[in-house]
Amino acid sequence: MNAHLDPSDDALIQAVRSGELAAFNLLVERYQRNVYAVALRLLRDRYLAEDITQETFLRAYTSLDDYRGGSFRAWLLRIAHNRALDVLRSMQRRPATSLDLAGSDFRVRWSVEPVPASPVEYAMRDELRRRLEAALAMLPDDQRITVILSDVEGFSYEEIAAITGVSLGTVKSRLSRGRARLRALLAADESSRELLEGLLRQANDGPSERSSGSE
Amino acid sequence: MQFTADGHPSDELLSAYLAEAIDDPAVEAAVSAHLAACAACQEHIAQLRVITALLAELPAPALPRSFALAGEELQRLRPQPWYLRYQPVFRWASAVAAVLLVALLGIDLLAGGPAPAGAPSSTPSAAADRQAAPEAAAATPVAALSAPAEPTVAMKSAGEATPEATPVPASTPAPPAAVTAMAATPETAATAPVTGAPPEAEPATAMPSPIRLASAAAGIVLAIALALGFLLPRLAARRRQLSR
Ligand SMILES: [Zn+2]
Repeated sequence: MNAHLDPSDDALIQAVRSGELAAFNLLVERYQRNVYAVALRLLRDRYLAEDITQETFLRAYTSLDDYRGGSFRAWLLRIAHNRALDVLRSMQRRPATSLDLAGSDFRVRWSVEPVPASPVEYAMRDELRRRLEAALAMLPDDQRITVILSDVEGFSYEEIAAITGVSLGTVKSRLSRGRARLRALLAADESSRELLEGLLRQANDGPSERSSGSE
Repeated sequence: MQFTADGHPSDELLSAYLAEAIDDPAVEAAVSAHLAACAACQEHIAQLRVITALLAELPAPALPRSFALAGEELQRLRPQPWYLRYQPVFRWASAVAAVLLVALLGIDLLAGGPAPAGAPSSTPSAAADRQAAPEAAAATPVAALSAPAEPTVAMKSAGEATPEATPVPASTPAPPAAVTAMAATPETAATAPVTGAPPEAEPATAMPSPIRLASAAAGIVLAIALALGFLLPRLAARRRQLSR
């Protein structure tokens, strides 16, 4: 409780419960990036993502007494996830048909750009990332959510199971199916497949990429 | 999740292999054996690796704004019990009451209790009272500063003011009645002012002086404010902790 520099989530929650209401905003600052990023990738609309992020923190604040320990981040993301699913279900999703066109209306300001390895490879990765983003939008919701939480946002399988309310086995199988589907989508699109193969060739010619199937 | 008709593992099975998510060790060994011999499936796995790496480096979105809750929203959405909402008021009230109580007791000592009203001629004790008064006054700022932070300090400093003050007149030759009256002052004033009548004579004291009435009132306010501002929130927090 006395660690002023970096109080734990539980210490902050305890402070809110005993009347130090402003402590909640430290939790907001800690997790608003996570919540907004997941909401944005799920909904692909920054105004909806903003609304959902706001609602998530309001709901978390009013129902803070329901939090019973465990990962607070996962508890928070579960609220955001459920709300985002409601919105997704009520939304009429336009089916994207081509990786060139899909996601062209998805314009957001991105904060961090990865450092380019070489100009050519950078351009290839950049283009492939764009197509991957579009392919991601074509996955079924459950697979998409799992891939986003695991591979994009880096949550553990246990956290994803808590967020999405399914078993560990289901998380793993959704993840496997989602990744396989992504690969199939990219392989079915000629320019994407060429980029993918080009990147692999570069990696093989370059310093070292661990050879596949060595386990 | 199995091998396809032409003998290759399915896309999903390869992906599960990469995620180390194959439950059946026999299946995992079969995939492993197949991978060692099949270039096409090695390419598959390599592509899956690139894809997961690319997913991990998808850029994070910039926050459009801060999602911190406004102060009045925090208040409105989580209504506080009344004793917490008015806690600052109670704490300040206890500080003010403590200061007032000490000041009143000081004045009371300076005036020599109820007796000197009829007998102003007792010069030695009056001089001693004048000495004691600054001490009591000196205790006041301390009580004022410490009261909002910690209740016990305020209590103590208010209590200590009297033992400090009483020995001074006791050292000088003073009328015994005045000394006992002064010694009796703090407790009786704080709790029950009516019983605080000095033991010996003086019919004037049947009616308590306004100063004693005021200090009794200050004492009562102090006790209530301490209870509501400090004791009750602490007890409530402990009970909530136990019930959880
Ligand atoms: Zn094969």
